Amino acid sequence: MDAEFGEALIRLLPNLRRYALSLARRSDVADDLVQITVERAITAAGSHDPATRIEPWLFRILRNAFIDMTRRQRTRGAEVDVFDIPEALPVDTERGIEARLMLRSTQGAMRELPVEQREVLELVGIHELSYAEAAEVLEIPRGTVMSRLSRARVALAEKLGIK
Amino acid sequence: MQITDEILMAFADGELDAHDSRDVAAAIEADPQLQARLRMFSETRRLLGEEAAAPQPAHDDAALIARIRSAARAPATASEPAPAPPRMSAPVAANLNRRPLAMIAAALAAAVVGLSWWQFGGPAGDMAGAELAALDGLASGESRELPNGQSLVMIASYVTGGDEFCREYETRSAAAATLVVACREDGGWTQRFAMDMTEAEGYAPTSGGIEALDAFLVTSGAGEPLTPEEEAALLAALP
Repeated sequence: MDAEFGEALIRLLPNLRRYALSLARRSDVADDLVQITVERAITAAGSHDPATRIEPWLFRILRNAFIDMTRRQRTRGAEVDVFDIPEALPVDTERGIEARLMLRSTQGAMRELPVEQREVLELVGIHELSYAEAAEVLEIPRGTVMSRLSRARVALAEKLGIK
Repeated sequence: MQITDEILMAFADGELDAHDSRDVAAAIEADPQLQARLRMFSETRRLLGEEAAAPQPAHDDAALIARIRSAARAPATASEPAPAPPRMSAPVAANLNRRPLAMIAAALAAAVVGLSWWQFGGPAGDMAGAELAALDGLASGESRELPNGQSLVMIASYVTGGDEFCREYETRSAAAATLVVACREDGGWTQRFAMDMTEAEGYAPTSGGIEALDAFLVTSGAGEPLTPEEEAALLAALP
């Protein structure tokens, strides 16, 4: 692994953590996922094609780690959702209460969507992956990304009262 | 040109090539309904962008950063296995057959879930049609809503020592959760293992909970979970 790859990995740690949190919804599990992803990325650094962006490659590692984990995870019924713990969320900034409420409702609406739709919204809407990159992360065809994403956007708009 | 939702969305997201974009723009210009629909896709894009810009909790990544920098200085050889992350050190019964990640999950399970396995072997007559359909077609890692309101998550596929194709899945409702392993037998699916994982408040689980499944998988000679490609090939070969 060269230094440039390492610095890119470091720069993307917050992105990885956010994605991990969206999948696992528990900050301790998200920490584990990021750690596992970093270890796997270090080991497999040579298999990343430098001609492609590193984000989808890392997200795919992280998502596969999450799937491995859920194969043996038996705790979902007892999970503490990070969004239910106020102290786990960032404190209000000058963004203002109103903006914050709107953000919370986008987030709240996303949480009500089926997981397949939430995943594409997360990757394309929050992490700004292209459709093709999201397809690579999720290991599904680009057309499936588009159909899920358009359904997700319609559902999100309905929940938020956007005509 | 038929302007579907997906095309409008791709236009709003800048995912169309220049040629298609021109065609779509022309169609939108002539159609107020398409304009309204496009606004909806643009607005959801904008809201997601705001959500993306929302401040995130600060997190101390110093240890990870140090780990990455030291790995960058001393390049690991390709054959060297990655060192186990320190957080994975929870004590768990050794089962060399399983992936290391099973350790985390087993530790988590032992900590909070009360479970009792209620059936071990024997045929099951209570697999609903929707479950059978999921067994026939749902890839591991994917989930599906069942007509009875439960959700089904396909967990993994295995091939046993007896060369049987088996699949592990969970069904879950608000009140109950069940883990099932079903195998192909005589042209159909037969339930081989089922475990009630319904959380029991105040019930202290024995350490033997999740090991019941691992014991079953070892007894049946199941190897590592199949890769997505191997699984897809076996699913495609089903009648």
